[in-house]
Amino acid sequence: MNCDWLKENLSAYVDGEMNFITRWRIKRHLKECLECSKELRQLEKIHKLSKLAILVSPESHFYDRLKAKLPKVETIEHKKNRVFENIWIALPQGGKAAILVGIALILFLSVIYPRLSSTSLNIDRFEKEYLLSQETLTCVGEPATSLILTSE
Amino acid sequence: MNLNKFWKVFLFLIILSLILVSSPSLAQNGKDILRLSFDAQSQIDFEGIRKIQTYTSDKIHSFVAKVIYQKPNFIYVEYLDPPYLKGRIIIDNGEKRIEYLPGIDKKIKILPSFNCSWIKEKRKKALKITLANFNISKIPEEKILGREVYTLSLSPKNSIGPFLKLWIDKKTYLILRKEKYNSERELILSLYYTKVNFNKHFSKKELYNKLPRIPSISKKFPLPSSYTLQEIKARANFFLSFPGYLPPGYTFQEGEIMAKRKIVKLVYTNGLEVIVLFQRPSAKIAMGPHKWMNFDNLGIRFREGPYGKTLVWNRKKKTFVLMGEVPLEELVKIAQSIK
Repeated sequence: MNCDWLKENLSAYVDGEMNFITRWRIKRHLKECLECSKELRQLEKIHKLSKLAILVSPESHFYDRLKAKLPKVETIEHKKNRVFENIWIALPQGGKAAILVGIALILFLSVIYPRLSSTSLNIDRFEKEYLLSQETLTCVGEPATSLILTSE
Repeated sequence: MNLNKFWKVFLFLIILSLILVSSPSLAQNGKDILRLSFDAQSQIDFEGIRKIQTYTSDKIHSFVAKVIYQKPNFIYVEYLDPPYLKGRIIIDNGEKRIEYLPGIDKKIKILPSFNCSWIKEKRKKALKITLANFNISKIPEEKILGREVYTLSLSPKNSIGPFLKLWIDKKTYLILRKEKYNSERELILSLYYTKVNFNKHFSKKELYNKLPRIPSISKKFPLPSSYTLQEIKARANFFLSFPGYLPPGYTFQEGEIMAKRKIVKLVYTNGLEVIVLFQRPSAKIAMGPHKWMNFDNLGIRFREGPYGKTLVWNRKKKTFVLMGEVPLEELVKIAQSIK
């Protein structure tokens, strides 16, 4: 490790941004190099002073002036669509109850009621089956009598 | 008589008896004639115009069709009348059967062939039951469309009909005319040909070429599995009810499970007619025009069509459909006996 490299990266060392091995090598170098040790002490003093400076509040209008000096950046505002939420809040209690009952009724009629109620069938289906038996299970049956069922 | 002459006479008698036995045209017995007519349509080349009339208490239904039989096992039926059926075609090639109205039906179903072994076996069984249940007698022979025919009368050994009269062609054993009567001896069905042409051979290829395009097949008709009484009891997924009463001569023929195990079909036959009982967990059945009847707190819907009578009722969370061509009182008795 040479002194030039260390002087360039000393600030990172003070901030604790180095990994374990690099820190160990820097410490070893600082024990042997007086110039670098001196540099480290100066830097540590500056760090202490800067921490004290942060604790003091900036003077008034500091942030306004800072904002004026900064370049303008376009910001996108994410507005939440709260139309339904607003309508729901605006609704009277009776209206809310009516909507809930309506939803429950639709669910009942479309999902639950068909399972509860009996199935609906047409007699044609049974008649066709009957004719098929009449045709195939008797000895003088005629083929294709099922067409007799075709409605007029 | 010397020995040589005896052998000559003996041999002549043997040959004569063999000819008599083997020649169907010489069959004298009504049962034999009926047996021979059973398979006749699959052994001839024939074209004819067939008229079927069914008689209900208030209406006569007529159906006219061009019929072609070609051996073995080919049937072509084209409806000519009534207007609402005109143009409907049935083709049965011995393997499968299709029914469609050219230009209207975009998709068709395949049905089992009338001549498939599965159906033939059932019909053979029905023939045996017929022979056991009916007295078959020959009545004076007649001529139909210039052809000599045997005339058979089938009368039930019990009081319940039907009575049947058959006119069977002497040469081919094809049934050229059929009349069915109910137990009151009223005509309920008549079938006859107005035009016949035997031995007319035609090319199936030419026939198919003339036909309008056959629609695509929507669904293959699976051969239904038929079960015995014990099997159907074990297989049904709901408790089955059975009739305690059946008209004389009728016996259980087979049971079927349909519509994803929701409907059970029980078939009873006397050989010439069937009585079919359908049952399923409670369902609403749309029936069209019908009458209401009430027997011992049992509300029954009833209607009579060209094919027979239909009763529909609900009992103990189940729906029953009973169909048959027997007197209404008999159907009601069956319905009342179902437990």
